[in-house]
Amino acid sequence: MNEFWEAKVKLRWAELADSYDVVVIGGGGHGLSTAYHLALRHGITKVAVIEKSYIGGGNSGRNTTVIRANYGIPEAVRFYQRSLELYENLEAETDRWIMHRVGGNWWLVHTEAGRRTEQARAAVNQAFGAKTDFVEPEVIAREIPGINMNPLGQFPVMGASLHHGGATARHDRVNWALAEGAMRAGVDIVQDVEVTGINTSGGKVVGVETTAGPIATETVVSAVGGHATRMADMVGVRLPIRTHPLQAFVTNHYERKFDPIIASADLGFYVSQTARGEMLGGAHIDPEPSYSRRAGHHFVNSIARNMVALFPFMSGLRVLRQWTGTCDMSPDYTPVMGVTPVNGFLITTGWGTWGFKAIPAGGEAMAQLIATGETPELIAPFALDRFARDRTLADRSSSGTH
Amino acid sequence: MRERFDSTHIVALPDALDRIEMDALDLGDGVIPMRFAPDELVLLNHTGPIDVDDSHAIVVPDGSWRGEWLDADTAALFLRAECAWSIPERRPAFAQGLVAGLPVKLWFDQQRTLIVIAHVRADDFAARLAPYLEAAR
Amino acid sequence: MAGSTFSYEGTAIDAQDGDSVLLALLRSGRRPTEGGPLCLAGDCPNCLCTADGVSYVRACQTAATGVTDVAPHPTTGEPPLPPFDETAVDITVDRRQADVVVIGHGRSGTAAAEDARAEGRAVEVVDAGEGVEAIGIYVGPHVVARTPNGTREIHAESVVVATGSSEIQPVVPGSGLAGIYTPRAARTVLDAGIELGTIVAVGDVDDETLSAASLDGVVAGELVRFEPAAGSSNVGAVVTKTADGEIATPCDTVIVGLGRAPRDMLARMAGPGEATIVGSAATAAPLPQCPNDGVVCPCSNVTMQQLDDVYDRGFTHIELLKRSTLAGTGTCQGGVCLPYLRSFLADRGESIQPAFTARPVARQLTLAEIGAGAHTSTAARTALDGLHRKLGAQMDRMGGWWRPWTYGDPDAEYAAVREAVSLCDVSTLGLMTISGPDAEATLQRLYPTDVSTIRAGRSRYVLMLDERGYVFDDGMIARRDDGTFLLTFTSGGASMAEMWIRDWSAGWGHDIRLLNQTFSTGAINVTGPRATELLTRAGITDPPPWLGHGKYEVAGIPCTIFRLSFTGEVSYELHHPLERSVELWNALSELGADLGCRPHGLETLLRLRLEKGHIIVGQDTDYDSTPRRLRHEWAVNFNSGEFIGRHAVLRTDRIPLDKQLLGLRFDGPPPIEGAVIWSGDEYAGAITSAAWSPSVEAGIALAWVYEVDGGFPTEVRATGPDGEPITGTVTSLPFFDPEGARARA
Repeated sequence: MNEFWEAKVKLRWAELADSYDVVVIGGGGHGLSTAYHLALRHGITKVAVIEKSYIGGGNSGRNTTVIRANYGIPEAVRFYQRSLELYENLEAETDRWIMHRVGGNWWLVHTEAGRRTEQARAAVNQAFGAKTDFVEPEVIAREIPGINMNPLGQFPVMGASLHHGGATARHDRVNWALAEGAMRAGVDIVQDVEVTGINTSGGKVVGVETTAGPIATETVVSAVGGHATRMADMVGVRLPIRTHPLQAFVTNHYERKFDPIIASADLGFYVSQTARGEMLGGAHIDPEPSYSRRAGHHFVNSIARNMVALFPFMSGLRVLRQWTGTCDMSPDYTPVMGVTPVNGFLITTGWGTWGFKAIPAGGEAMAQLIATGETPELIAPFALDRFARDRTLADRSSSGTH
Repeated sequence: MRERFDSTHIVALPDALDRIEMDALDLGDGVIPMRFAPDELVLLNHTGPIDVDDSHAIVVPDGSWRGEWLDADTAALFLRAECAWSIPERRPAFAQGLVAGLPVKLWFDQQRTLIVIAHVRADDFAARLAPYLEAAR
Repeated sequence: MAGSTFSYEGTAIDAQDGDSVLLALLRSGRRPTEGGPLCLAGDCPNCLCTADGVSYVRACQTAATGVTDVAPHPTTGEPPLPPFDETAVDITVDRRQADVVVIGHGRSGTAAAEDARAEGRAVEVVDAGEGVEAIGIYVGPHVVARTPNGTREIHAESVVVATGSSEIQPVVPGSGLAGIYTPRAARTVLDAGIELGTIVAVGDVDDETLSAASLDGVVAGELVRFEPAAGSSNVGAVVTKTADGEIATPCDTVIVGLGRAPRDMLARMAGPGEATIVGSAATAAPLPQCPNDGVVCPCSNVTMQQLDDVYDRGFTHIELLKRSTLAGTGTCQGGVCLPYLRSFLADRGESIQPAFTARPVARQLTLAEIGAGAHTSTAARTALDGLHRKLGAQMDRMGGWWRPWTYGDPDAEYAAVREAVSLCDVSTLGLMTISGPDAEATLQRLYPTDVSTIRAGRSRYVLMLDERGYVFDDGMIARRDDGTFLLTFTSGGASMAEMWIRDWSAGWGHDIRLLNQTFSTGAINVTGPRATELLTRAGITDPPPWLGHGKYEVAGIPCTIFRLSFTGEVSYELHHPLERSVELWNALSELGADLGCRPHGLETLLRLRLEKGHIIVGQDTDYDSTPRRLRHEWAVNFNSGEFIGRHAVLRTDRIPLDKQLLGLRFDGPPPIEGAVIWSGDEYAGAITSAAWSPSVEAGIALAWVYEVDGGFPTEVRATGPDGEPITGTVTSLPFFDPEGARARA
């Protein structure tokens, strides 16, 4: 018997009804969270979540489980800080163990320009409520076990932003806790059903077509990952999204002794030790857009080398499994949420490499939007029409490693 | 990368470069044609004027290449460990690509292999090549 | 007899030739794990050990030779992390190319290899039993394998997977006891002459194995459970069920034959068309009977009760079953449990679900091994790199180059530029020559300026805009006497710009020639009030005029000299063949020694240009920086016809302005770069560049200043470098020498 098996969640699967107040497409973290918050915060329970495979099977179950709010622009810091705080309370709220653990994110820099960027990050974080400090190399040498302060002789560790609130949680547990909460409140969640079309009439959504038959509804939320552009295309909405693979891997399980969550943009990777004791490593997104979920060798080859260069003690850890997720990247590295030109068709996408950390706040805000008809202030800057209005939210330096 | 090469760097119409490349070995002792692209040719060990049949050609002296000749065994040892793509079998032959993580140009003559790299990467490349030179010694 | 020795918990273990670590241990009456049925084929996790500091090593797959220290896998908990002061090991890669890679050297693998060779194809065979374990088939196909002394990477046209089958492991109570073997494993152990005591067999065990074990047959009935010997983790009896009820058969060893499952993980990992699967790896086997009890996943220690439990709570999809119990996520990646998970779901009436996705790595290897042969991208070095280091410069990577940050005394470096003359290595600037019948037409459409009005011998500062009208680079265009153009770009911007130019010009059908000279040309900026004097000393009596350029010889070195200014002082950029950079630098240094000439680094350059209000693309600009937001409308000429970004700029110019890049002046030291600024209590933007200006005797900064309450603030609040509140005043740019008299002198 292992101590990590899911011991409490009870999932009650439903049959699809003929009509719903709200249909959520995509049973990933954002879809489930939207349904959860609709039901629990707003009492809207005539909701269906339609998942084409199994819940949490997309990026919600493939991410590297980091929760942080150390973004570079005020709008993002506020939003992710809200999410980080909701995460801190999620175990109490759902009475489910999501393995939430605060470890602190250390973003290492190796150049003068890097120092600038991370000092700026600390400044904007502090101004908008996220706890981040810039720390000098001696603090890093003292606090980070096993670190080589001059990896490869060319990447001297010249400081770091330390985001004290940085945490991890088990992705599957988050998805299930939200799914269960929504199901209990009366939301219908189905798996292995695919949405094949969205019906509109006079610029308004009137229903969806699925592989399990048609459903009447006036509100559709596209919470799909990876194929968000195809979904929006069904109602003629164009999204400025490109999908890129992002790869990660874990080692075997070792005694849990390594607390920090370390990232180095220059060395192109981040690493943390999971609750189960695996050393989890990840990379930047692949530069070429693709829907491929195949694991690559170049990625693991170069990341492993850099990881060992920074942490020589990891040299003998054995790699267990590689995998790939797909990231919907917006041009300004910021999510796209809210209404679209099609009445009743809402989107939550552009979750790039930051979708997991946004699950609670993203769902909360989308639910509020649906329930009140008003876009919450927290996500108003993320509206799709920001591109046409020339009000984009550039935050590239915050996305690379996470 | 002990050797530095003088060369002539030409960007011109492909046809014009085809003709130069074809006759390159007659241009003088040790001239090596390195065809980077259909419209780009570097004549290693060539200096002075050259006739290019393209009035818009860009022709510049270029002394920014460094290189190292390796004997067949050392080249094989090095490429086996550091080159992930197939090298041409015919001789002489030119090839280019990533070797030891850096972009290089390779010239294979009957016995030896010349590895050429831009000066700006040469010191780093030399450090990656050094252990193999050491092992071959 | 030859052999080898390794140490195991303080005891020297003798191994015979050909022994795996596991066989040597079994010979000595030991085992690395507390119990467990053994397959001796690398499929189960029941012989894990720590070999020479590396945990999770399968003792059955590791040759005893070459191993010096073996420790058991912990019976509870996880192996420790290596000590934090452990050093890294270096692993080498053996790279090969082949037409065909055959994985597995058994009967079908051998046949496949022979067939391919007969067709004249180059074949590489790898086999775990021969010490070369394939760990993955990656895109290519590209096979990566672990070898006894490194890794092997084979790029191939195709892959044949001939990995055979694995033996199905028992899942019944007591299946974790020692002394339980699959038939193949039993034969290996018996062949090695290892004493197994009283042996019995159950299930479907072949005659060869039975005779090797000197057995006449198998115990009757269906396997129910194993019972331990008294006070031991070793099996003491096997219980079977017959028509007459349960029978317990006492024994020391049980051979359990439950059939085979294809070992097809590598094949499932390959992309479409990359691999063919042959032999028993390709033979679909019936699902085993669904167990009632016992540990189904020995890696994660998942019991049948746990499967039942999560299934009953709605985890009905095979992936949910896996993720909720962690069955199949351990070192054998489902090797043992996958057939049972599928039979479990079938037994519960679910449709038979496909095996979960196979991902690398199929067999494990260390980070050092999987990282072998990789190189970390390095920054380029100018021809003066060594010289800077000799001069004691602190080198820093920026824009993909190593650059001197400071030579140790930034104040003196600054003073040299403002009061005397100074050298700066600007070889990192992007530089290209463009020629061809359509060169001018290409530039006309690339840049928001009227290129036709740049006369020969003159140059102009230009922005590069993308289709959205956002600035992504800047530089100079210079027209030469021969009608060709020289273009410069930011350091680090050249590769992107080259692709940009080639793509667009090809799209327009333009006939151009383009040569990127960034890596073949050096450049030294000679700057300061005495720069002209220094050039005169170097023999240049007719230097180019302001914004002019021309070909010269400086100290015998051919140079293209640009007269422009980033520092605010008289400046000459000397572009020259990089192989002569050191010579040129030394000549200038010598000639300028008594003029007070000394080099300056990036730190000083950043301060100098900030005093002049010059932006640095990337530092002061952002993804959405339009010329208007940057207050660079002067660099956009709408009368020059079509150019990239023109329509976007026209469109966004009609939208109310929300933020602009403005100059701020502080009485004392400025806030740090990146500091947030406020107007009253309203967010008003952030600082992009900041420095103390000795010449203006003030803290100066560039900042994104936001519109607040319908207007742009003229005064902003920020936090000073020591945490105290300070006030900045919006100031017109440049901060220093607004008429530009010094640069044009």
